[in-house]
Amino acid sequence: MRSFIVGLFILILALPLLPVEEGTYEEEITPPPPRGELLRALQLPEISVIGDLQTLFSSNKEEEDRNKVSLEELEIALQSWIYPTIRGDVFIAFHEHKGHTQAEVEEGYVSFLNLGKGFSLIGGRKRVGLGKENPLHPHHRLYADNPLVLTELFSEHGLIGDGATLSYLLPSKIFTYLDLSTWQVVTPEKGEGMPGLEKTLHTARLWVSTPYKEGELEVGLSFARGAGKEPVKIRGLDWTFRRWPGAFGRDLLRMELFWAEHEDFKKKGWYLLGAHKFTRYWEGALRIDNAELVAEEGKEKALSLIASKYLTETSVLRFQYQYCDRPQGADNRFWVQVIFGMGPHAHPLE
Amino acid sequence: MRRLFQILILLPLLTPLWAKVKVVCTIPLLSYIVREIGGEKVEVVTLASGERDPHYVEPRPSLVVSLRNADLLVKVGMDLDMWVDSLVDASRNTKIIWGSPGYVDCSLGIKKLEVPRGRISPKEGEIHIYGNPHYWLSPANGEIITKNILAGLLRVAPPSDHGFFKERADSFISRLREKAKEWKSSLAPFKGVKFVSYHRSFSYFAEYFGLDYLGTLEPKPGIPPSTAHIAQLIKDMKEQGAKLILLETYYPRKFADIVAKETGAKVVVVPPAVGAMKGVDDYFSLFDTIVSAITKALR
Repeated sequence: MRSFIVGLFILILALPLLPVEEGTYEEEITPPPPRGELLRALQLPEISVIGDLQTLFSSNKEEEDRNKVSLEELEIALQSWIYPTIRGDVFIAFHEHKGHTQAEVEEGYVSFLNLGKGFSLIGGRKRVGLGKENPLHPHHRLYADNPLVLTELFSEHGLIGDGATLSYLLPSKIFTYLDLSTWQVVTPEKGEGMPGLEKTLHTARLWVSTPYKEGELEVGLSFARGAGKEPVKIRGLDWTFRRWPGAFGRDLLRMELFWAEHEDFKKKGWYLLGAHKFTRYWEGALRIDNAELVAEEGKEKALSLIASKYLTETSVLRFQYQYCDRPQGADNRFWVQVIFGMGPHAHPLE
Repeated sequence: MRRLFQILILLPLLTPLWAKVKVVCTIPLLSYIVREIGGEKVEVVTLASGERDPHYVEPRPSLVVSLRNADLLVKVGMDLDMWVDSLVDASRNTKIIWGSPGYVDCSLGIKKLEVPRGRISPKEGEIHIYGNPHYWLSPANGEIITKNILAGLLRVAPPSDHGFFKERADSFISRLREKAKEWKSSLAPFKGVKFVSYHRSFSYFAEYFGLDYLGTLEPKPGIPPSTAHIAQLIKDMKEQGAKLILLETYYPRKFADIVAKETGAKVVVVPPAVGAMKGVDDYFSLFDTIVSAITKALR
């Protein structure tokens, strides 16, 4: 009896070492989950790292990052389902700020994706859903810098806040999505961006998208209003047309305009972006910027030519030339950007 | 007047009798099989065009509208069409999320080839952790796909339609078996023929028809051809007498032509999926086109 138990024990221990045949139709009962069998087994969130390495050559000798290789940003993402319809997403960013490397929670939010009847709710820290590009993480954009209008009105890192967003997918034949949010602004800090932003901000965005001429046409209307007697008001209009010719091609045309006001402050700005993906790996783009300066009178105008080579979905080698015209004079700038991504990295539909 | 009221009251109760099952498929091949099984009792929407490499589809907002109303989502699985996940999340439709009755992963039950073992990393290129996902290029797997779709339809459709779906699925499988015999006999003289392709799209095809896969123009999945790799491939092809290059419609021809010039192999441009080439609109014409292109080239 004792040797039988010992034999049985050894057999149980040896079971995992026996060769296992590939799955057959009869053996598999449930399909594998959409992402990451191994992560599922360990119950770990999806962990990824995105680095944004930049070298800026500039004719403007006052530019801080001039002729230096700098790790512009390092983003660590932890993403996972918490419950069948609830997701958690955390993005921690390390970036240079006033000569020091600073770590901050760029985004950290929980998404209740199905409250029923097309409603969903997101709570936490998030890039504010104002316009098309501000909600995008910098590594996800088609260029190395921030559009001038976003830098002027918000900050170098955009507009980020703590708050909640109620979203509604309208039951219409055309994709129509409405976001209503309330925020306590985290970025920009006081003294950055337009005056009056560092307080409570309520935002709304209507996003409509429809197939158009073998492509997709999207239009967005954004509105933000601060608290108090003379609140900040920002209005935004954006439109994007995309089409996907061939096996890998993509053409994109995007324009975004902002009008901002606060007390006697009134500024506006826009950019126009056009991009064409020639092959699976190479994309060329052109961006025209026009933004009224926040800190002084006058305008900043820029023309950028961009070439990107996509190594993978999250790894890109990019070259960007920019001619920038400011009241103080004109600058020529050239970026070499390397974005490197490790691990499974996902963003919601953009 | 009273009769009119009676009809109006009964109308909503009768609706399920003629309501169609709303099916969303990620690629045209799956839509074709859904239509074969479902006939007029299904309404099918395809998310990606057949001309597009299914690995690289950009999710677009308007596709969310179809998914929001879908009863069934049919996908290739094995991480090939993982771009659909963000659209499903945005659709807020819990009927079609993973684990729900309306979620069909057609790779379920496929004998998967080239499943990576050990540590998996992008050092091996754009590798699929579940194995090579181009499994539809084997008629035997076409049967499994059909069974998976049928199972999904039976889960979400009213019982009154079950017989209709089963009958049509059986008929499709019978026709597929007949055609598979034809394709097999056409390729029988070329059993053991060594060939290369751009991407590793034809592993299941080669296994089913007994062809010998020598290599790919890509050194690793998703990595563009390099001079060193092409030189090695040319050497291997010369040594082993490979005379066929299957070039998927998605990829550039120049590397295939360089290799063909050096080895004397024939370049045959073939569709790797339904819709990838003009006239390749269904599962049968997909194999007809590939088989006839190979036989013509090797004859």
